[in-house]
Amino acid sequence: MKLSLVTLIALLATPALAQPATIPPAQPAEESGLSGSVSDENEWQNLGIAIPDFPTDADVPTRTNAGSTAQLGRGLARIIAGNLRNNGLFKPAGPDGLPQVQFGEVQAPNFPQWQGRSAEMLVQGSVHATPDGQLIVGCYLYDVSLGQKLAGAAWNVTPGDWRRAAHECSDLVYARLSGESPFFDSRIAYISETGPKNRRIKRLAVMDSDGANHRFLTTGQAMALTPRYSPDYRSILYLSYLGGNPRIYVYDLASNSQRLITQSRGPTFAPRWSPDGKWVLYSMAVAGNTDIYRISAKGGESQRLTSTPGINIGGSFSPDGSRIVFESDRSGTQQVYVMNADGSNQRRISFVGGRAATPEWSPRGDQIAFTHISGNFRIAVMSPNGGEVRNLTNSWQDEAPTWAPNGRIIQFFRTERGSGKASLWQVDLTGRNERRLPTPADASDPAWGPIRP
Amino acid sequence: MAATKLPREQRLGLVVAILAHAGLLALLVLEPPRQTFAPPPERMSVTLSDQVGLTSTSPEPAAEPAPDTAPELGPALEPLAVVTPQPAFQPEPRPQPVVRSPQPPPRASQSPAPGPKLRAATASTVGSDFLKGVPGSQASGSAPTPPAAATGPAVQASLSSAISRQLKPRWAAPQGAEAEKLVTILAWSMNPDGTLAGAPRVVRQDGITDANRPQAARHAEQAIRTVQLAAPFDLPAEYYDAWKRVTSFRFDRRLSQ
Repeated sequence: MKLSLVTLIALLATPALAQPATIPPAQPAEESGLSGSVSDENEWQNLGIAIPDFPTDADVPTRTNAGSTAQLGRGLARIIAGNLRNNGLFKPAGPDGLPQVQFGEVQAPNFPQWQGRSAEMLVQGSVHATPDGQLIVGCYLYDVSLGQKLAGAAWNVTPGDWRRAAHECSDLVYARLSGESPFFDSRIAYISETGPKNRRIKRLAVMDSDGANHRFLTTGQAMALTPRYSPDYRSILYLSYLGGNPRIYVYDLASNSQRLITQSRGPTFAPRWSPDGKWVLYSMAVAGNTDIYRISAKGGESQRLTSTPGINIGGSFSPDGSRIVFESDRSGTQQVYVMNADGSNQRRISFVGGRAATPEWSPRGDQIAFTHISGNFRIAVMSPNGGEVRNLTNSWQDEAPTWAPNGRIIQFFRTERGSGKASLWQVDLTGRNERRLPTPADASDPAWGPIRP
Repeated sequence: MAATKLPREQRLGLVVAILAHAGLLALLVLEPPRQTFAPPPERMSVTLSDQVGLTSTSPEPAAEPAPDTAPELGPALEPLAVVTPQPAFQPEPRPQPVVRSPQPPPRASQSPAPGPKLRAATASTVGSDFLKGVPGSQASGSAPTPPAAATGPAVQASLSSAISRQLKPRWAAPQGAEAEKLVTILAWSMNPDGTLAGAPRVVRQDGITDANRPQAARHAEQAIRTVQLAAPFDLPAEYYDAWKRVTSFRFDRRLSQ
């Protein structure tokens, strides 16, 4: 009895003893201090970033198309400024009109010199050519007002890949200052359109995220549509009217050869990769009925996932590969549905006014982009359960959304009323920042690849 | 025919009644519409404030100590020069009042020298304890900022807004989807000269959603940066006890319309 009484007292006493020991340091402070609030009531301000030329320790010729290391340093700064200028968050300055930076200053910036300018941030970098012809590009981000280094990295790149160093540096700055994942170091596949309206020539083309390193993959003899980059960038799925039959091909980028994904009875279209690159989704029309099928990327038997009458088309995997979002007109009009990766548990998620088409699951998984058709065609997003629908664009005809690798920017194509000219556009998730992507000719059906490996 | 049977007075009365009705009708029809709007009630502005104290507090933490010296202090005067002659006169024998008349000239010749001094020094002749009873005169007054018993809510509110005013030009919330919902609450301490004592600390963050989670850390970083850039704060030194610790300052975003 005595022992239990002692334990009881000890149990009661312990919290009582512990509390005065922990609370007093915090509580008096909470009571005696001042409180208040400050609100940012301005319009969104773009962050000023100064990007001077990247200096080099020795100006030597390189095997790049940019020239010597000093010219390369200027080219790198130009690409970074261009990348950051075009997404609405930043207001980059330079490299033109900014003071030259000495090689020794790169890691110890002359802050007083920059504090007099409007830029709050400073990106400095350096170029160094190794004896074997490789390039070492350094990139450092500084907070000018605080005089602090925020981020820094260096990359060893081959001369042919020198633009990638600029994209990596842009990604470093973007990720550090926006909190988002990077996306500049990625590529885009799309369909280039030329020729008169009734006899368009549609060719498969690829380019960097900023439009550089542009390349046509097909000649245009057969119409090409709806390309999709494979997650490892080795191949592209697309729809070709080769021989007059619309069929899905896999284009191998290393060997520049292509093969049919499946020998099918009817036309196949709307191909998509699974996030791990092991599966391919496609749609096939048989006797007026279109359904979604799944096939291994290596080939083999197709598995039919939908079986309702009408048109089921355009599946897109969730980032974990467990679910598929697709479009179906089983309810009478086009709407967005979700099912498990094996075709089970199909249910409608979109209940918007008008129609909802071409759904695309965000690589982050938190949103589904789709084409909202109600009068105009608009790009819209919703949550994976169909709520919180937001229209991001408001033009005559915007369609076919595709996500940036970080799931914050959506690329789509816009058709002009009247002329029918199509071009590639990007919009961020706030809907405030829209920009046109430069392409040599008219462009449609964009597909944004993941971050390059 | 029935009318003819009526007496003349009645007919006359009938005519008068008809005329009166017609006149009334004409008056009602022709009369211009009168302004019948009731004057609108006087508008009254009501302010709902939680900045009220349950106890009345002085706007100043401590009354200004009264000066313990006179406003004008002349140079020290040798009072002996004036006072000492007097005892010398008193023992003088009374029987010779007539003899005293020649003496004023020497006194007059003495007085011109201390004359100006005397006039300037008149205030200091007041006793050193003349301030007894004046409030605050007994305070030691050695500390430049005597500790305040309690700072009133009005003072606290104006200190908060002074800090807010100095933070505002530096504060820019990061952009992003739903980033306008983010709120960061910071705490920091300050030295008497308004500089930061240690780095600001995040008390908590509110409004984090799946969409704006990537910006949350950036939001806190920007808020801390704002405080660091705004320091040193320009705040009244006499209220240092009230502003030396800021325990919860809220950083958010709200469009002004």
